Amino acid sequence: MTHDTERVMAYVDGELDAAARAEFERALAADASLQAAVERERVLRAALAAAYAPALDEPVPASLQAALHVDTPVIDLAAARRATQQRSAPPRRWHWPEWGAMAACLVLGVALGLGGASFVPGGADDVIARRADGVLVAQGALDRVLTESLAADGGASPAFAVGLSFKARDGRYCRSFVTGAVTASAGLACRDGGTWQLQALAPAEAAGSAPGGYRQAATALPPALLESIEKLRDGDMLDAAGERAARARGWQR
Amino acid sequence: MSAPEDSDLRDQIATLLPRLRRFARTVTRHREDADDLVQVAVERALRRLDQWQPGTRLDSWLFRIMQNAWIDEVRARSRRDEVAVDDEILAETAGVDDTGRHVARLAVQAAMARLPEDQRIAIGLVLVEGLPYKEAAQVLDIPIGTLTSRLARGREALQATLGGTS
Repeated sequence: MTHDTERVMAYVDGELDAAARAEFERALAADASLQAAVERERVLRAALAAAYAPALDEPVPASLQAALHVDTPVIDLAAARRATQQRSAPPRRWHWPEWGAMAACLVLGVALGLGGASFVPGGADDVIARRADGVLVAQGALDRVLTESLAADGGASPAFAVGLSFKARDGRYCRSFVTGAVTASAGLACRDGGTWQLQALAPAEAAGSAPGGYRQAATALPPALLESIEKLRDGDMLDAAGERAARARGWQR
Repeated sequence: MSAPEDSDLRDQIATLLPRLRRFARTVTRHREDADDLVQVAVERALRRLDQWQPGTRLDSWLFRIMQNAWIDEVRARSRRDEVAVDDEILAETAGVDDTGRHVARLAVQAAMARLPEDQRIAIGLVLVEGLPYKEAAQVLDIPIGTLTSRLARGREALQATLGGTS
């Protein structure tokens, strides 16, 4: 390695102090081959950054997040409700325009994260919701996860995990889900006819920081979402057997 | 359970997960191995949160744990020998439009995969993760001179593979 390559490298990596940098730049201005060498290193740096950047945008697998929340208690709706009520600010309501924007984020995050290929967006199958007659209907990976996954099995998909399943007052089956940390969102969908209609979608970080052990549960399900669940549900959450039975019926009421 | 500062640290580690996964891909060259490595490293980090020195970089500390976990545990069970790296990367392009950008990414990843491990990890820390030389040398527990020589050799090989000599 010549003195020059070492200098070029240190310059491109931002490792020269002010005096050395000024000296290098004086030499650079007068030397076309040095300019070419700097350009070549900059191109390489940019290519490396671009090659690995998509990894940052993929949803973090639930198993990795779980490793950081080993002490997470089982979600306790009563405790969650109390915590929600204790919060000074009123819980945030979710409106359609916001859901639409959130859905757009979800579509983007999932498009980058799913679909077999590690580093590139997959096909149209990775769009997780479409608007039909004024409601958002789950499709693609989200539809599959909601229809096929059991909470008891853990995260079947790297991008989504189902959470609570319950029967609503109107007889529909509803399920909550969370997405990976990069797009950190939680949602609620109810089975209507042959589709899952999204009832609510909220950024998981909107939960804020509730004190103590409730923190992780709140990260998974924001208070606004828990409130929707409380309004909708009729009776208890489905246990593993109830969930399996409902799946066997195709989530039909 | 743990002190409040522990739970803050956990949150900080959680926000670093995307970067840990990216670094793991330069280290392991394989998506599943990469997440396996992050998992092992995060579990190790959580067992010794008290060893992190406040005022030092948390990312560097985690990269160091990852590098050690790779060498003494994960590498041995990695999938690197199951599939030739080039074949695997090519297989991932199947069915995907060959856009120029996509091909360029794969070419860079394949070139990285062919580098000797010490050079690849040095490049990953400095050119991908953006660590200063001093931090990267500490992560790897090597003198700065050794780091810069690995960087120089790694760069030269990448430039040769990627045809950047013209």
